[in-house]
Amino acid sequence: MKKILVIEDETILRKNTVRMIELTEELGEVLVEESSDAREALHKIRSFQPDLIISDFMMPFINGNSFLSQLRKIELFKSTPVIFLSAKPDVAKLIHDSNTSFLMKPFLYKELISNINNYLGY
Amino acid sequence: MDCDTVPEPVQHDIQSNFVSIASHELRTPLAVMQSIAELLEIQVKQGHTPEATVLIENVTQLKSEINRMNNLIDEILTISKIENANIKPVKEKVNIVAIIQQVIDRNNVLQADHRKIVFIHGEDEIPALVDKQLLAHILDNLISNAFKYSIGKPAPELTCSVSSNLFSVTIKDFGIGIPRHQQKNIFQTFFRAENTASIKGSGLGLFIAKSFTELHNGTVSFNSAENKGSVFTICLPTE
Repeated sequence: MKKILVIEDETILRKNTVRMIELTEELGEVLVEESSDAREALHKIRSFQPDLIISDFMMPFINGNSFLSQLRKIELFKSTPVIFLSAKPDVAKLIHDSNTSFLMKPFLYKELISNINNYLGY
Repeated sequence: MDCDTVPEPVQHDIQSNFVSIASHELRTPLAVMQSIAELLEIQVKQGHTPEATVLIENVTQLKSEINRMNNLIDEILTISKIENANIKPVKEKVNIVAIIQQVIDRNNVLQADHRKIVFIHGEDEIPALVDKQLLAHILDNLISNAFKYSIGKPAPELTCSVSSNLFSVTIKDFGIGIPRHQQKNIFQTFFRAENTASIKGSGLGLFIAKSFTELHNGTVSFNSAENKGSVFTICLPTE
């Protein structure tokens, strides 16, 4: 079973994103966990060990850029794919990491699932 | 509190990234609304039409996000007017105590926890020459912040006093406070302190309050300690 971690400080958006993934049959059995900020997520990933992370970019405490650099320092997550969700179109320019992609908010369900498929290979 | 010096109105620097941040802030409620619509569509297509209670919750969430966008657009338009110097105070002689009482009453009824602000004033009448709409907007922003950032704590306190040609209004809350290292940023547009993530807000209210105060040749000052609370004071000339 594949594991996905969703990090988003907007509660409704986070919970709806989790639910959308859980309801998508083509993804098969997926275990989805959630975090409301990147600091909490950095604690959670050690025990949860996600195969894919879907994360907001503009977050309290730690932004997407800092989160990614801290994530990559952990051997286990050196190449874990990260899909960033951002309402700012120019944040993609800040990241130079081949295992990341960006979805502009508001994003379409189809785009989200297509991105997940790209990384998890369904 | 220092009411001795009153600077001339400050011409704020136009932030080059204002439009970029504004678009980000407007897209966020849109993303929430989009997710509600997408999830409903998935559920209906899969034959799992949500129950009435869930649908009502979705509608409530949509209305809340629409309201959030509407408020944000109003604030962005206000800032645009401020930065283009398109707001000119229309001053008239008013009783400051009465204006404060009106703003307090309006805010008190909005509190789900039924807290009521404690209003302390020596005089029943403090006459001053102000733009009453702008003053009400300043007070509204400061009072709503005091409530919003002190949920579960005692009600905020408001004191009002006058000396020589200045009057001051101080709003004290016992809430989450502002982290010391972020206090220098609180009057910047769209800035929100790191301990406010779970509390809705645009990060524009204090900028607007400060700008409107300065349009009256007044000042805003504050003291704050994290997890103890904040005290905001405005000082304005009476003439």
